[in-house]
Amino acid sequence: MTESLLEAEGLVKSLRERDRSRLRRTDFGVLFQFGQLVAELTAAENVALPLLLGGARWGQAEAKAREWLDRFGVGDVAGAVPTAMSGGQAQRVALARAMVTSPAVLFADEPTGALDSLASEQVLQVLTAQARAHNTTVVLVTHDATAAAYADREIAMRDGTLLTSAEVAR
Amino acid sequence: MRPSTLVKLAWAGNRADWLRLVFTACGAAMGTIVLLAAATVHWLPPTELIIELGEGAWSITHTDHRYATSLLNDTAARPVVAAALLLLTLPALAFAGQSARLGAPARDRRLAAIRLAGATPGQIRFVGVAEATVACFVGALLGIGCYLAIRVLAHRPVLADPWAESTGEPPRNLVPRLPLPTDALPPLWTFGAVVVAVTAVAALLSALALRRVTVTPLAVRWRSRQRPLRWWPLVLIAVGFVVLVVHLTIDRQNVGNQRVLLPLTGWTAVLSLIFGVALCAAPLGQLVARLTRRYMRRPGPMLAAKWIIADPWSGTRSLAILLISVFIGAAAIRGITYAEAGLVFGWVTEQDVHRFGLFVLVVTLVVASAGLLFAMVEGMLTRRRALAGLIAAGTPHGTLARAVLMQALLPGVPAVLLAVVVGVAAVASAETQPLPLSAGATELALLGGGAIAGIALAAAVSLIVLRASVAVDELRTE
Repeated sequence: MTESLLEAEGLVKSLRERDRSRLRRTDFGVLFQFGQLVAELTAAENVALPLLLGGARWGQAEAKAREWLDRFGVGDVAGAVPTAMSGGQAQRVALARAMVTSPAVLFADEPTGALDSLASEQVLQVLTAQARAHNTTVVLVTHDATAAAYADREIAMRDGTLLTSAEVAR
Repeated sequence: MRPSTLVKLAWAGNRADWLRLVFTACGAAMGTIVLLAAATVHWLPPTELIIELGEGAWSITHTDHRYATSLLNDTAARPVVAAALLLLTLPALAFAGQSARLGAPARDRRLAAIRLAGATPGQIRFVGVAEATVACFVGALLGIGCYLAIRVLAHRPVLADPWAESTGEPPRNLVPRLPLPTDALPPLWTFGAVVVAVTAVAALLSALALRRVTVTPLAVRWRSRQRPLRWWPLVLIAVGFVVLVVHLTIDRQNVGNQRVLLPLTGWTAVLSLIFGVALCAAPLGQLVARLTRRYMRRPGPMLAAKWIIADPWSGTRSLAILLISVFIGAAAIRGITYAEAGLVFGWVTEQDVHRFGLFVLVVTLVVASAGLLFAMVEGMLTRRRALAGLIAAGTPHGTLARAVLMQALLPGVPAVLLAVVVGVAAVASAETQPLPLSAGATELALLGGGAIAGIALAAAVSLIVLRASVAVDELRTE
């Protein structure tokens, strides 16, 4: 696994910045704890952004954005800006933006770190359901055991070193 | 990505962003009006007035009485007026450039968020540049509108007897006179050229401003110039004086020289001097800050000196407009004093020269002070977390306020003095008749003192923002 990671890292590093951006836009989705939405754009515009950056027409991109917002249960806030949403809604909008291009891999870094337990559960449920439905691999980094329990496969790390199952059990 | 989407992203801002766009557009509009005014004066048809001397004798003069100001009536004085107006575009466009940085950190964070969504560095640059470019394009069109409106509103001929005015006799032969040259219009292509020039300068300025901002998907980095400063701005000033001397020695009767060499050397000299003076503020500020750090051991001056040494350009960039204004002002005062001595401009009245000089000075100083205030408030907001950290660590508000004042004044005072000296020296080197170097000393002292007071006032006003923005809560916000 370490070898394939190094291979992938080498491949990404060998790309030009422009191609890396394209990769981020098409094959990868990224989700953080907070702050990834453009504060001045509405939820629909935020979700449509990766499609627009790829050259899609506004009407087409907006329709697809609304479709994804509905899937994540936040279609009712399509016209709202991030500051007018709750933390859970904003995180689901960010998730819709990360998934709108149907990426092969979604990187999620503490996606529920800033949410309460109910909102966390909603986000994780919808994340796993949509990822399964669209064959997206989710690489989720978390300190939260509840969030980790949603994963098909768990890899534990301590101070940058992978732990074996025995070490985890201890 | 479609250009329309990029433009939409560029203009998707909050209230602070709109404020930035409005002020940028205002700066561009001011620049456009001044450029068109200069073009109007340049394109005024040469005047020829035939004066009958009696007994079949007559004389031709290149002065008439169409306008209320003798500066426009005298064909020989018009290039000076046009050149002074052209110089006014520098503070106006610099104001637009300064306004384009208002609230820029928030804008740059938006760009980072767009980058995270998959935008390429090129698309981000386009978004950043498009914002200022579109604002300046709109501002330039507004400027044309204002110019045409002024033309209509100011076209009010007043009947007067110029001869009686000059002799003090009762008026007899009344002739219509215009307060401004509203009867003339520059060629149509000039309007297009001005819009293109203002928009292109804005695009260039915003691209240069983005040069030091690296927008990555995860963060925005602002690179400050920390390498040791050299004294090459002084070299620029020296080059300016050398070119000025060359300009003065060129044969003025030669038509070829009049068309190419004279304007080329003249403008090269003026621009070298202006940029030299504006760029000197950073090395001067750093030198004074080093001396302050060595000899003044109080917390306020030490903090100010540390800030200047850490980033000598940040405090002085905003000074550039003011320094350019002081340079122009000092040169104008010297020029007016020279004219008052009756050595040039035989047909131009002292009163008109004073009025025009005062107009140029007031406009440049007001624009410069506004730009300086914007820059200081912006700098304060950008550093609010660091300042809040100092307050949280127990630094008294008074010490911080003194540090902010000194950060503005340490590079400001020597730079203003340098601008006055260079402005006076530039005009003095072009004088053909002897005039003492102390001529106009009172006005020059008022100009220099006024500029330093302007810096102190801008810093004092920005202290209002300081108190509001250094609340310890700032440390907890994102």
